[in-house]
Amino acid sequence: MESINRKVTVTYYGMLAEKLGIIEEAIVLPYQDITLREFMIQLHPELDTFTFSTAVDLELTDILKKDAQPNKIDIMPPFAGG
Amino acid sequence: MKNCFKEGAIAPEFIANSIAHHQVKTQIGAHQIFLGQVRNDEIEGKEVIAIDYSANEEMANKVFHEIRETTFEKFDLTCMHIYHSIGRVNKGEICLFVFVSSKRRKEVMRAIEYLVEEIKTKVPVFGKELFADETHVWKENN
Repeated sequence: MESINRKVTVTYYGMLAEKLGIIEEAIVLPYQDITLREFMIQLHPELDTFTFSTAVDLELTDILKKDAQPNKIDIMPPFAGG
Repeated sequence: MKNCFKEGAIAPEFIANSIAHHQVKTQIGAHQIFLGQVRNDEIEGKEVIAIDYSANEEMANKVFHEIRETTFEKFDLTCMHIYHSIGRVNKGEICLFVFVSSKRRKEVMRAIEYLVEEIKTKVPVFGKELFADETHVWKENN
């Protein structure tokens, strides 16, 4: 199980990229089931004041299983299209 | 996967040409079009002069595709086109163009309302509302 790659690219969008001053970063996920919102707030406590959604490999989800090997995580503020 | 984004405002001529291209599809009996336009809201005493749109483009195009598939399953449509702006769109300019066609009017009326609501709630597009003094706020759909 230790061979599972838990390094992943996180991309921030819109207001969140501006407020954090980060567009993209590489992180290493812990080897356990995680709730993405809680994990991202641990990583960047200022996120706690914002509404945001999370996507793993282009699918909206807040749960990441310990054996998942995602390529990409997206952290997105509320949508505002149209 | 189709790219539904167009750089900047969607020109009225582009919309007119889209309509013209459908005149050869003579089995169609009804079109319905939704145009989203940038509104000059006043926020804390300042007028919005433009919106700078950004997006999670890869995911957005995937979601546009899924919405298209679901809409075709739910309604008896002949064709469907969706275009959303990316980048700066000035007040009064068009930022969203949704165009559906069918044999019958009731299908397109129902489909367009469904489509626009789906786009607004599910597509990861972000909007920075720009003021004349070069400050901004971030837009959020209600």
